[in-house]
Amino acid sequence: MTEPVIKISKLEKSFGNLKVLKGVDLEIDKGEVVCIIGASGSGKSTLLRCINLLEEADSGEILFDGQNLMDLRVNINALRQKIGMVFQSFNLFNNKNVLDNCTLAPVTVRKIDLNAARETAIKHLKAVGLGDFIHADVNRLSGGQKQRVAIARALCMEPELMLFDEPTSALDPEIVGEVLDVMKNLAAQGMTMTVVTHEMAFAREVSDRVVFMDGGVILEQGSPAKVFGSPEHARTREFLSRYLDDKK
Amino acid sequence: MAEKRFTRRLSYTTGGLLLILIALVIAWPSLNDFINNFINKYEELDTNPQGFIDSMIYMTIKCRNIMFTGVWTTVKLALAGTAIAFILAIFMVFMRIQEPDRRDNLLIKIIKFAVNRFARFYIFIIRGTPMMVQALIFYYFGFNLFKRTGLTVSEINNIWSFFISGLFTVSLNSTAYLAEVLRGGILAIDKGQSEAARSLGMTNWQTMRKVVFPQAVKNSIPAIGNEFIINIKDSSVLSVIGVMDLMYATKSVGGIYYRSLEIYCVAALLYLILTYLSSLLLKYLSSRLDVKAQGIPSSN
Repeated sequence: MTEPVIKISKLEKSFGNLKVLKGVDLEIDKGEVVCIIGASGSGKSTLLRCINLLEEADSGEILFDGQNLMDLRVNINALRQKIGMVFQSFNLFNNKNVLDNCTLAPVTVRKIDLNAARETAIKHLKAVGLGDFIHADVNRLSGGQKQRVAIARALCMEPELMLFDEPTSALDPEIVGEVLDVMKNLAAQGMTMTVVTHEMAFAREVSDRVVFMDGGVILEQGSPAKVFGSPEHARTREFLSRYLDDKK
Repeated sequence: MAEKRFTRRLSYTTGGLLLILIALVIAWPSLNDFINNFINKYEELDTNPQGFIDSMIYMTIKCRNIMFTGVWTTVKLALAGTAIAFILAIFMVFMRIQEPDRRDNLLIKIIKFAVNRFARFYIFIIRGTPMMVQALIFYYFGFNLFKRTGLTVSEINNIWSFFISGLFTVSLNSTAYLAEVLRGGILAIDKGQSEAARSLGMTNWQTMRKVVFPQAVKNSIPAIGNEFIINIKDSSVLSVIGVMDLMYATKSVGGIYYRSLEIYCVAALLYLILTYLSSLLLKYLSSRLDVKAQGIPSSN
């Protein structure tokens, strides 16, 4: 048994009167690829945002690197360096070009020498197929290219865990593939990944474990074969069948 | 495509300018004569002519030194005032946007709360009172302050001159408005920008300095330019404390000739030229920086 990278227990979060997370328990092991699926509003994205504290959960525990992130004395900036995040809307820095997007955090946060940071950034940009775009203005890239830059930017911090929040939901169906391919490569290299997604084919093919969330709780989880092949709960079956119908 | 259009436009502009330049060089001797004759015609008049336009030109030419000093002072007040205010507004807006975070320790929480309330209070007071009143308060406040140090009136007038206290007023007044402009610019930046920076481990301060603020300033450039134009117009209220701006100069000239309507029309025309030229300049700058400019703005 490997030590889990992150261990979440009894996590609860409300927005006003709306309780979005109603006690979530989740462990993610090193090198594991976990896909979180579920209907909109089921709390998947909130869970992900709570993990790197973009949202502050109300109660519960998030253990990462032996520290409880919910502890107010924890240095969240130090921990966030080790948790990469990829957003649905890319969120590339609009005032910087592709290369500077990738070097900003390594230079300002990790105090890495600019030239070394550039070298690393170029390596990662080449790996995501953007070696020709390192000096491009980010506003001129396509959605798929932007998302690949965002992935490279997160990788430049050499994270222990990568969080993907619906990384392909804002993309044209035609260019979803190029982003998913990059993620597949990353998974193959052994990166620990947690992916909130509506791409069922990707979840089935790449993930080690699929987590189905509904109404703020994890309803069921297991290997893709189990969750997609023989789901335990009627709600999971309903969600999956509707999803597969829509895709036909 | 866009580049081609740009170079074509550039060649039109340079070509046009060159033509105008050549025409000027050829026509210069006769143009110079014309201008000199025009000025002399009015200089030689003994009395203020009856005609409205004639009288406007007569007073402007006779008192061109006073009027020029006025225009120059107004430009100096607006330029320096806006520049100083911009620097101060950066500090002010950073104070204004501080919100205590649950992860801060108690001291930081108290400091953040205090500076936030100070900035809110400052902006509230400045934006809620007329600049004319502010000018009088600042002037007399400074005067009384220096008086306590035992300086004589003429010494005080040297240090705390009308111009300095006027500049002080414009700067402190614009600080409040520009702080709100910058705050609007910061709020307009997509939240995803700071979330991305924070998710990479950057601190709040690093996020603000490297990602959010540069974008906010760029988007605020048209509004900062507007503040400059507003200051050209609104510095006219400083004549109340005796700053030798365009308004004060106009009043003086009107007093010499007992002809108010005509000289105030001259003042209006000069203000219009100043604001129009500034708005042209800002439009040009904005297009260079790829941000949207507006026309001549209304007063604060």
